[in-house]
Amino acid sequence: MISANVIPDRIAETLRRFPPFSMLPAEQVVALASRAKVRMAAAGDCIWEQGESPGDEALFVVRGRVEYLWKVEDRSERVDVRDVGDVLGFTALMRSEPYRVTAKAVEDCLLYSLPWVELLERLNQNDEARDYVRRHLFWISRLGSPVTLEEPADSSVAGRTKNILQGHLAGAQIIRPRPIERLLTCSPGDSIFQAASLMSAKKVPSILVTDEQRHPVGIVTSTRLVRASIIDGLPVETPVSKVMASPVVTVSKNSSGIASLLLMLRRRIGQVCVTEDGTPNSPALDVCSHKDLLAQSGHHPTGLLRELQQARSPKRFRELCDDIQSIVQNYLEAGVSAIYVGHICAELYDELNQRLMVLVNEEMTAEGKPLPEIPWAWMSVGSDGRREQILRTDMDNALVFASTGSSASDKVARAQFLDFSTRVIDLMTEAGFARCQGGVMAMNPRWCRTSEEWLDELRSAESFRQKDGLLRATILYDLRHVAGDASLCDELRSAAFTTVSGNPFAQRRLAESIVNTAPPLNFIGRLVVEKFGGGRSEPFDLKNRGMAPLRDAARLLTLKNHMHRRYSTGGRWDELRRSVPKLSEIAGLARDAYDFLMKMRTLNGLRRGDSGRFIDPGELTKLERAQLANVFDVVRMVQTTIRNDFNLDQRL
Amino acid sequence: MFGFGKKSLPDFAEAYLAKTSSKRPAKAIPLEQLRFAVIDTETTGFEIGRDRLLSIGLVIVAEDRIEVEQSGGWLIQQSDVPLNDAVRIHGIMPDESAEGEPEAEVLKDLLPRIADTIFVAHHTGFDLGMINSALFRHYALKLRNPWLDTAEMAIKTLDAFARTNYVAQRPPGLDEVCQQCDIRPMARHTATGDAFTTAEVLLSLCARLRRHLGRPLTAGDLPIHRG
Repeated sequence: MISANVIPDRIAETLRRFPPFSMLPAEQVVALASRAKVRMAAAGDCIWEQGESPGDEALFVVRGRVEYLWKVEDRSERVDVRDVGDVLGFTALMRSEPYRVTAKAVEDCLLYSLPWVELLERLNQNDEARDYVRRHLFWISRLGSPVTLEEPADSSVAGRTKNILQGHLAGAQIIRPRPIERLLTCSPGDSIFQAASLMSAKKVPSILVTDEQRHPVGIVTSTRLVRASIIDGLPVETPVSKVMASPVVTVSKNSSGIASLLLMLRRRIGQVCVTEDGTPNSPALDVCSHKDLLAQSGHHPTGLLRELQQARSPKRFRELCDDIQSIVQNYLEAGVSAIYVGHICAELYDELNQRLMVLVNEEMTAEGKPLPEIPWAWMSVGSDGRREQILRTDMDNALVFASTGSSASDKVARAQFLDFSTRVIDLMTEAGFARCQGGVMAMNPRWCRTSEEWLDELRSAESFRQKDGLLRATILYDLRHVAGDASLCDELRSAAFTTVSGNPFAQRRLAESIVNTAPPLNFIGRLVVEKFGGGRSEPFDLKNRGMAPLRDAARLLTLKNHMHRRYSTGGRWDELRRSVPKLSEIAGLARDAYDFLMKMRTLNGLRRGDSGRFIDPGELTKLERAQLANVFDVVRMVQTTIRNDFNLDQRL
Repeated sequence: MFGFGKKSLPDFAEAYLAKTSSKRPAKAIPLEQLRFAVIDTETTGFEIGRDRLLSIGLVIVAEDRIEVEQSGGWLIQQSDVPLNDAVRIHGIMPDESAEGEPEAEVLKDLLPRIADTIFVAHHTGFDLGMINSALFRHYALKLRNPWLDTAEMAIKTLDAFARTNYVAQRPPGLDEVCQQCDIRPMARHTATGDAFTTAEVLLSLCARLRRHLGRPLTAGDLPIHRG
């Protein structure tokens, strides 16, 4: 026949409103649509039965709703729901194995049946769409079977731009070394005069000092030259080896621009050297300054860092914090990992805290009330400690000071430190931070203690007997030094780790709190669908039901495996992924899931002007909903791991 | 068969007649084994015999599914298209009709596709009448497929349209049935779109009947008439 056939076009139009079809080229969707069949199922019809073999069709739900029922022994358990825009049967088709569940229409359904072989071929040609479909396979973990996906190899975590949950977002910028001719180098024996002439001729702010194999041994910046020759008055014949900064901070080629930026922020340096393998023991390829990395971006975290160091007035601090917030929004919307954004914010907020403490210290000294001359330290705890406090909706901090040995003088010191903390926290509040609802602040005597008091608490197994103690303990495990004497914090941190590492009871209590909450199955419209009972329409608590189990599991598993190096949840999962082979797969998934939740929560918070903790299921897009459902599956897998690892199913 | 047929029929018509029985399919045949040709026509008016076909939409349903690949439509060339109410509804203008294919060619293309199927339309009498009238003009032939009317089936299946004793009760229109079955019509008032929508109605009515009876359907459950 047949003149202008509207049917495939209309079917394609419907398909393309939903992933993975929205990710495929339009003409491919039309080609699929022209091979489609259309079928109907009345409410109550079984579309397929558990144990049947899949045919050669994938079913797209145009209208209606389908439930997956899992029959075990005599029971039938609802394990998932699918509605408009979902595809049924991916798992069985992908694995060519019998259906593990029964699919039952709970409303009248209109279904497009698509030829599986053709669909698969097209999905395989499109990374984004394929990733989307692979994620669909996770739900099977609800039936107690493990999921193994062949992952694309990712060479370094910092360098990977696409992970399983971010696949749909463009990754962060990658450092690509520029032509080697651009790299300005000299040898350690060259004079500073020669170095300066070269820099001046090439108009670059630094020169790399390399050995015969072009391995970087040091770097000379214009500031260093100025200081050497003008301030220190060194003669121009002085060899560069005398003035260069060494060792050189290096990254590998193709590492993430954002990660490198973070490295510069943390080390307070203006440039990094790119080498072949990322260490100083391989040939240098390029030198990148933050300007190179952020050339296109109007905002500039390093610039803000400098501004923070110079600001004095509360109003200015507030402006700067607002700037930080808009950077956060830009980064997250551009697809930068929320975990990295958290790290950037932590550096900036740490700088702010340090600056405020300097100002308060000056102020108190001027009033004739200086701090006592004993070691003290300001700590971030809780989410701040994990470098996950992106928005100013909370603060968690604490103070430790060295005990003087007498309780009377400890009392005097405490009063002074409380005064100090109160002033710092008042300034933070003026900068836009909300006070901690739970009172986790250094101005609270419970969170401003001598190191002996802290150590007593941390070493006592008592804390794990009550709920409050458990909560306090988990907040403390995430403590991180911000200002003052770092050794005081190190001591507390190692005490916390030693106590829990050697206390199976404590571990068990922590493990129990992780498996206590059951993540929901899915969302339908405005409803949260639970495993038992019907759907409920209410705001969904992203933090308690999604993030908390992942965060607590990361902490517990690193404690158990004696890893103390990492502070953030993302970092902990990364370390577990690399160091504990049996956890490697689940840790990778958990990190991505946490990253996704953190991003969703932060963007939600920016949109609503609150902490972003509660989301309205009705506002989720199809893609977000599918991603969340997968995140919950990852949470369930993590909970199963914890249950097995800590033998929670057997009584002690 | 037609005793008086002196002039022999063209091959494609003979092939159609050889394949197609006018008998209703045996009652026990499962629904999945029935093949339906769902048809909609757009015409120059509503008087069979005088008015002409402007387009035909065809959607094949087999194994209880619409087969998109087997479905589509024809635009038919007519020299004399009046600008009347009917044209206002479907919007096929004279110059557009001029782009179509000759009626005789379209019918020749249509026949093998609907051989050995059950003819389905919403208000079958009209679409069947229009096609038969054209077939008779060109080839002295009439369709012999058994047929099913989705309007009649809706009356039998949906409570909303159940027969009352009201004398002026008329069979429900396609839009009314769609609303009742929660079907969003595709490209209403194009032959292909309406044929597709009618096919959806057929599937939906079958699904409802299946739920009502609580068992798989067979040919005996459907109001199929002898051709």
